[in-house]
Amino acid sequence: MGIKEKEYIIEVFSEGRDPEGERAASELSHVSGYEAEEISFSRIYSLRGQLEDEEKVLERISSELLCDSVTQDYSIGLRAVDAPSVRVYLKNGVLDVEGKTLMEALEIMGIEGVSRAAAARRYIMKGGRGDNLAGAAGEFLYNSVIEYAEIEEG
Amino acid sequence: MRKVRIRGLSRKGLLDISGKMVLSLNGAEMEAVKKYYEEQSREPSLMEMEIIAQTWSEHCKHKTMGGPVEYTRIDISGEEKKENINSLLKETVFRTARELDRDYCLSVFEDNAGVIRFDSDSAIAIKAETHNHPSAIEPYGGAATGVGGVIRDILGCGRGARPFMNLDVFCFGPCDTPREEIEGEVLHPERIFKGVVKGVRDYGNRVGIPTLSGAIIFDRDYIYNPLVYCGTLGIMPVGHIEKKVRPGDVIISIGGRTGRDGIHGATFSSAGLQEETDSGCVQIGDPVTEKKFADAMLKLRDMNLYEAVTDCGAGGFSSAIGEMGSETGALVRLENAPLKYEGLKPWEIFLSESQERMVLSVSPGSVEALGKILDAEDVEWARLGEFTSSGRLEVYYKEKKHADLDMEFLHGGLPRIKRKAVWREKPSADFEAGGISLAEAWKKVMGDLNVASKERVIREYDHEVQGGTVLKPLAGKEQDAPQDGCAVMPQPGSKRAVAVGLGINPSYGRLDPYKMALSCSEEAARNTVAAGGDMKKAAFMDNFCWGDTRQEEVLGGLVRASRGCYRASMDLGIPFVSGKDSLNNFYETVSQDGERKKVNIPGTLLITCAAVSEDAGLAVGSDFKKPGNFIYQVGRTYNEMGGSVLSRVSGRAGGGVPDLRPECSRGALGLISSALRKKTILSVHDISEGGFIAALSEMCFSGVGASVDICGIKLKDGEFSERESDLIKLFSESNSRFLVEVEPERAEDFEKLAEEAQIFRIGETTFDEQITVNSGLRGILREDIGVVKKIWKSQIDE
Repeated sequence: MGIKEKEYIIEVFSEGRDPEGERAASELSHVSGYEAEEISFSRIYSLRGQLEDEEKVLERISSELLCDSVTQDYSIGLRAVDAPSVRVYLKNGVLDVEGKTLMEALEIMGIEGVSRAAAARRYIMKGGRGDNLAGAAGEFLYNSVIEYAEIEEG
Repeated sequence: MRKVRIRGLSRKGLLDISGKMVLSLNGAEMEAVKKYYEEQSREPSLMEMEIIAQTWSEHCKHKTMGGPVEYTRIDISGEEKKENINSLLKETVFRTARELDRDYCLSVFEDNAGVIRFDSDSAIAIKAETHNHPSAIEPYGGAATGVGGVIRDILGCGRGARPFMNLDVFCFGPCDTPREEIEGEVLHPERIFKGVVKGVRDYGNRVGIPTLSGAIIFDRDYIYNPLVYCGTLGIMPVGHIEKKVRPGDVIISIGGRTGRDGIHGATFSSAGLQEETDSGCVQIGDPVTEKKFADAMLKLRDMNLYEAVTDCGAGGFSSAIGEMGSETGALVRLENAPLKYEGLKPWEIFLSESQERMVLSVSPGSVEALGKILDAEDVEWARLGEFTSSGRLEVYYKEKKHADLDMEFLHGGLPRIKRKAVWREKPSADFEAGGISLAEAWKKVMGDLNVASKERVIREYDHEVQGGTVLKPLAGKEQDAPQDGCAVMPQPGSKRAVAVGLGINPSYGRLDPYKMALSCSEEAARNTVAAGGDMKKAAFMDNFCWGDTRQEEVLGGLVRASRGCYRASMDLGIPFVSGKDSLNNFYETVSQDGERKKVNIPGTLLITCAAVSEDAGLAVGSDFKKPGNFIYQVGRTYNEMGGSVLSRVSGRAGGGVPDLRPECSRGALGLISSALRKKTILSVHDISEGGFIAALSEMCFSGVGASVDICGIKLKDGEFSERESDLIKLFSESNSRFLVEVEPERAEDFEKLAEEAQIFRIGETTFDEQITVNSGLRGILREDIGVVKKIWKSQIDE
């Protein structure tokens, strides 16, 4: 019987200026059906596998590999937010370049136990209002040809 | 193993199969396939049908431009003149290199790219491709993989060239088009624009190749079918231009793994876009993988560890191995191909267009050494079989034979289908600008999207990586004045450079595709010569993007444009060495009541000119350097307002498209070339879109003013009122013209050089930061550079 794999999530977000969030907010202003006072952008990394000493290893992956300590911060597990958010994932079969590079980097770092890595994006709509976040997100946050989105109403 | 039943089927039945399987084969082609299998007394396998469809696709075989055409030209009186064209390509662009017979052209329309001599030891490979349909539905991935693909064309040219610069040209719908005016489920032009720019930026920058040259055209007819041209230039030792596959050589794949991405790319790009277009045709790029195998491959090349190479482009392994083994034969074992994930069917592995893969032909004795280097460089590789002398393409998956095709049938069995083309000459009308004032026209021209500053896009690209860039896209005091062409030194330690210029103008093509080809060719040559290129060492490359060429009038325009390319090439003495066509650029919607509506793009021709320059220092740039210098106009102005920017911004039709006058053209190009080599000019800018006033303004954007008097510029052909004369001098887009800056003490030398070219000394550069235009005693235009620049820079922003 095989060992059951776990999914570990790391979220990396900007401290201070958030250019990706600003860009998304600027694009949202051209879309009807939804408004937000501010958009906060983060990258989500999903690791599947079985890590030994997982807390320590995830800290190491986050601080040494995924997060630039000058401009960014991270959270092990998805941050709880009280605003609506949109998570954008690549569809199955679409090459996930970041995920692939992450696997290579873990190997170089000598970290074992991860069988699959994937990257996604998260947009937190601070002060969001409107009844069509899903429609608006399709207009400016992702392309349904290669991606899909999960909407959290917050 | 799945078979496709085609024997005994009617044409309708065959066409149903072609449609259901997305084969993009027409009735006659399906009949030819049926006949082959009836002679073989068997049905084709699924993989065989896919291989034939890919090999015979418009994308791979260029059936329209390579096939026969019955061409009818109808003059204004309605009189018809018919001609039979055996092959449009062979009778136009292919012919130029043969007839001009330039010894610096080392490989012409044979390989993945054209090759010209750089110096005694090295050669330059040039290629441009389009990635239109993928960019329409997934702009970021479509554009990125377009860049990745053309880089692999250069890596797969001869035994491999090292890419040293990229160029990218886009045609989009206007970004301010209201969503409600766009029919169907297409992406908004702004989204396409942003995605494409990001895709080109991310791939080009990450793979370490500078993006140095480009253009962006905005036009409503590109809303549904944008165009994305991607070009690359590379350098290689002349000894590596020849490649030969030998029976017994091992087939080795290197680079990325194979997935299901991009299935049907070749056949997809050979059909028009429809609302229900399959999303599986889109691919995603991985520049880091490409960079890794590119470096490793060039190392292997220098160690002579492989005999031949080609890239996996449209059609994947099927296309690469099928073409490499076309004169020998190939036996493929697909179970050895590294896969991204399990579950791929054998035909999917063979046809997949997963990116970042190359195929090498390796002598059996070299496999071990080659493998060691690839392993050390962290490049994945696999042994996929061997080239044979059987003359057949045999594909196995786990001992089961999935395809066994005669190479002769596969590459020579495509029926030649005669297409019909019609060109109707249109009566010409005089251009009438209406009541627009000269000052208003000037500002509207500078604010036209096609003239306006593209700095916001240019700044996304890395221009400096590899350290060879001499003439960058922007210059001047504030680093925002545009340049004509670019110049780059590809060989460390050598001061020789390559100058590159572009010409594209669909507005001319709407009125006269023949003259569009003349003008685009000359513009590309002008830009190249202005960047220091030697016209005696220059080559052209063509990229036709056309609408639905099954429509006779659309194909008629393509015939005219191809003939224009031939004429321009012969007149300028610059041969075509490479090219590519992308047809079927149209979009089809189906309304709820079943009515089909087709939107064709305007026939669009990109001409790229590349020329070797013996000294990178010849590239002086287009920006005025200092006050107190003389300004000259080189070349005569004609009343040629057809398709001009002024006609677009004033909403007025009429006027003729600029013509090419061979003697004037050679005189002007020759003068600039000599003047740069004698160091008599400090800056030079060609006059093209927007005319004289746009060129003058752009030169002043360096921060140096200008005061000119256009009274002395003599107009050719015709009597004009004062206003007409002003309009023509300022806004006509006649070819063979430049503005140049000459120091007063060098003026006599410059004028002596101008024996065979018409020149007019029109004024001086000034200390005041103003642009002033007079005509004798009449003040015509006067404005602060900053005011004009603001209009020019504020059109395309975040």
